[in-house]
Amino acid sequence: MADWEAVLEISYMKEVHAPRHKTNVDPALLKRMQLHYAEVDKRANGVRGLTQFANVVKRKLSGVKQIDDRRRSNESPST
Amino acid sequence: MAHTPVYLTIRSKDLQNLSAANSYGRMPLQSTITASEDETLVVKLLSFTWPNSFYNLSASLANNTLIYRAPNAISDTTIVVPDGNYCIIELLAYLSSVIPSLTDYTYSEITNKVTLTATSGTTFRFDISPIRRMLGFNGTSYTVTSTLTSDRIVDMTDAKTSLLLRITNLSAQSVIESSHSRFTNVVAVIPIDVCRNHITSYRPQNPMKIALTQGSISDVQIAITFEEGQHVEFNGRLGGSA
Repeated sequence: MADWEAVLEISYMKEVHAPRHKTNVDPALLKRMQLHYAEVDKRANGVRGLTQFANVVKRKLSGVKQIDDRRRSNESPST
Repeated sequence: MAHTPVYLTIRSKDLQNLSAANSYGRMPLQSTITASEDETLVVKLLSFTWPNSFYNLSASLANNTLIYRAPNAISDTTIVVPDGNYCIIELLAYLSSVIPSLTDYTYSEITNKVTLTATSGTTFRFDISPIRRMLGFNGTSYTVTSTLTSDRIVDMTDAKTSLLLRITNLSAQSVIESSHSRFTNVVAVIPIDVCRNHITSYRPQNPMKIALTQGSISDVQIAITFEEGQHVEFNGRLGGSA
């Protein structure tokens, strides 16, 4: 009658911004790495942008072709 | 890969006892719980099943004495009420049985106050009697002419309305207690919402998430206390005793 019982949950939360155990990283090296990854990101975005533009042009050209095809098929041979 | 949570089911009778009350014990872990460098350990209470078996009035709570002076007496008399879980009627009945000059008493549920009828000249030393809080009196010495009514409402809980579950060997900066305005080791605040001698289960819908500042746990030292930090005496066993 006098006993009690508890249920605890211990979970693991990922730290995104501030790691608990900081390592001794050279600040200059850290800065170079940040610049390097920023450049990589920039290039990747540029490539992605070109690809998206190409896809848009392709879809538009395809659409024009389909409209032209439908228009031709609807035209009467006598006219 | 993300870790899955670990659940600890902690029975009081399995703990290594850390105090005379059966509310503070240690649970060693066979395997240490360790977070990786980019993780934080988070503790929360999922449920707490407990009996209302503790006494509202006891020597360990230091709230069971009443000091009075009989008419024409030259010294005070101290009444020590035996440990127990009293309602107001039971407490008044006991006091009446041991204080000859307390000739009658009434309790009003409407006002939640008591009225003591005593022989003229009886002095109740509520200035040094901790039991006064339960009877609803301020910390003043009263000399009765005929009757004496509570200054405020009767409070048989003695302002103990919650249990605090603490993990004393884990460090965290998540909870601040009003009693000292500092970070504390409280993991959950459990309302005392059950009658004496009954069992209840507390399952918080939104449990407090306590982020630990340490990266590993090898044992858990768990304590159940009142708000002031007093260990709750559940009047049972702890540490594997029969």
